[in-house]
Amino acid sequence: MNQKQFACYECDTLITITSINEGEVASCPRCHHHIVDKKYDSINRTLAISGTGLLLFIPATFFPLMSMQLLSVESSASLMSGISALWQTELYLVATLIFLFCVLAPLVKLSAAFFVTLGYKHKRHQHPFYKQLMLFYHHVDSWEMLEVFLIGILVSIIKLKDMADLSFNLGLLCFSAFMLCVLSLKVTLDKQMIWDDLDYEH
Amino acid sequence: MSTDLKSSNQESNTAKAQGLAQCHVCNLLIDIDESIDNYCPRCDSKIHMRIYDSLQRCWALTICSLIAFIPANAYPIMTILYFGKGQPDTILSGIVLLLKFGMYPIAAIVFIASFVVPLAKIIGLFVLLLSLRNKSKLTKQQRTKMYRYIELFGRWSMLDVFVVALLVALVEIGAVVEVVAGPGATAFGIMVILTIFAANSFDPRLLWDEEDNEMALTKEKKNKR
Repeated sequence: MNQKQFACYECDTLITITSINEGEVASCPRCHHHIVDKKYDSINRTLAISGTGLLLFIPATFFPLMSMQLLSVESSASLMSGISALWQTELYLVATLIFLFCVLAPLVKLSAAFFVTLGYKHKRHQHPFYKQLMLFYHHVDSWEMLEVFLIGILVSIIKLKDMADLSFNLGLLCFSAFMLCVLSLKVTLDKQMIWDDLDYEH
Repeated sequence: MSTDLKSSNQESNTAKAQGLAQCHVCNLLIDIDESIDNYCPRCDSKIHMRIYDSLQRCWALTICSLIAFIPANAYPIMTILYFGKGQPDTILSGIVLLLKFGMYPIAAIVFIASFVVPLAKIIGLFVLLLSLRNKSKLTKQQRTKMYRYIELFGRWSMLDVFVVALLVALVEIGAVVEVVAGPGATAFGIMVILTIFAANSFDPRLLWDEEDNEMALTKEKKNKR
C-alpha cells in the first residue's frame, strides 16, 4: 500500500493507515464512514464477474422479461421495448433516463471494470486508457439503478396478475443475474488498490 | 502563542486544518494552494477543499425539487384504458386503487418508494441546510448518518417510473386494454434527478467544520484566561 494518509470523505478527519489486510475495512473514528475497504482477491473476482455480466448484457436487455395473455392475444415486454414504448408515446425524457440508468450506466460500469482488471492482469494498467476507464466508472457509479428496476418488475407483475395471465420468460432470469453481477462489482472491485498502483508525477 | 496554535491544530485533526485536500475520485491526499485551481496529479480531476458553492447549489436544487414534487404528484402518471375508456391515475390515486384491491404490501412499497422517499429526501436536505444556519438539536453524527441515508435511498424513488415503462410496453393489446403513460412521469423523472443532484452537491464535511471552528475558538478562549 503506497498511500498511508487519508482524509475521511464525510468529516475530513485525517487518518493514517499503516497496514490493512485483504478483507478488512478501515472506518473513520469520528463519523464511522468506511475509508478504505481492502477487498479479497479483487482482480480475479472482478474479472470473472464483469465478464459474466457483459455476456448477460444482450439477453438481459433485449429478451422479453415477461409476457401477458389476454383474450388469446399475447404481448411481451423487455427492458428495451419498455424504453421504446415510452419513446413512442413522446415521453422522451423518461425514456432517456431509463436508458441511462438501466442500460448505459451498467454497461459502462461492467466494461470499465472488465478492461481495467484485464489490463491489470497483463500489467498494462499504466496506460492512460485505463485511467480514463476508472474515471468513467466513478462518474456513472451513482446512476445505475438495476435493483430498483427489478423491484419495478415485481410491482408490475403484482399489479397485472388479476387482470391477465402472466408468464415469465428467460429474460427475467438473465436480467436478475445481470443485476447481481453489476451489484457485486461494489463488493469485489477495489478501486483504491487500482488507483494506488497508478504511476503519477509528484 | 505558537505552541497554542499547534495544539489546537492537533485537536482538530482535519485535512483542511493541515492545508490538505483529498481527491474525491481517487482519494489521493494533496497539498492545496487555495489561490489557484488545483488538479489531482493522479487522475486529473479538479480538487476543492470543499465542494465549490456547495450550500448555494444545494439550496437551489432542493427548492427546485420541492417545486417539481407538485406536478409529479398532481399530473397523471398513467392511464389504463379498458375498451378505450379509463381514468388517468396519479401516483397517489394509483396507491389508493391498489389498497382498494387489497394489495396492501405492494401499496406500501409503492407508497414508500414514490411518495415517502422523495418527500423525506427533500425535507431531510432542508433540515441539514437549516442546521448549518441555526443551532440544531441533532448531533453531528446523527446528521451525517441522515445524509448517508438520503444518498442511499434516493434512487428508489425511480420505482414508479420503471413500473410505468414496463406496463406501457406490456399492455398494448389495442382494442381491449391499453396503458398510456402521462406527463406526470416526466415531472417525476425531473424531480428524482434534481433530488439526486441536490444530495450530491451537499458537502457533509461542512457539518463537521463548524465543530472544528467552535473547538478552536473555545480552546483559544480557555488559553486567554
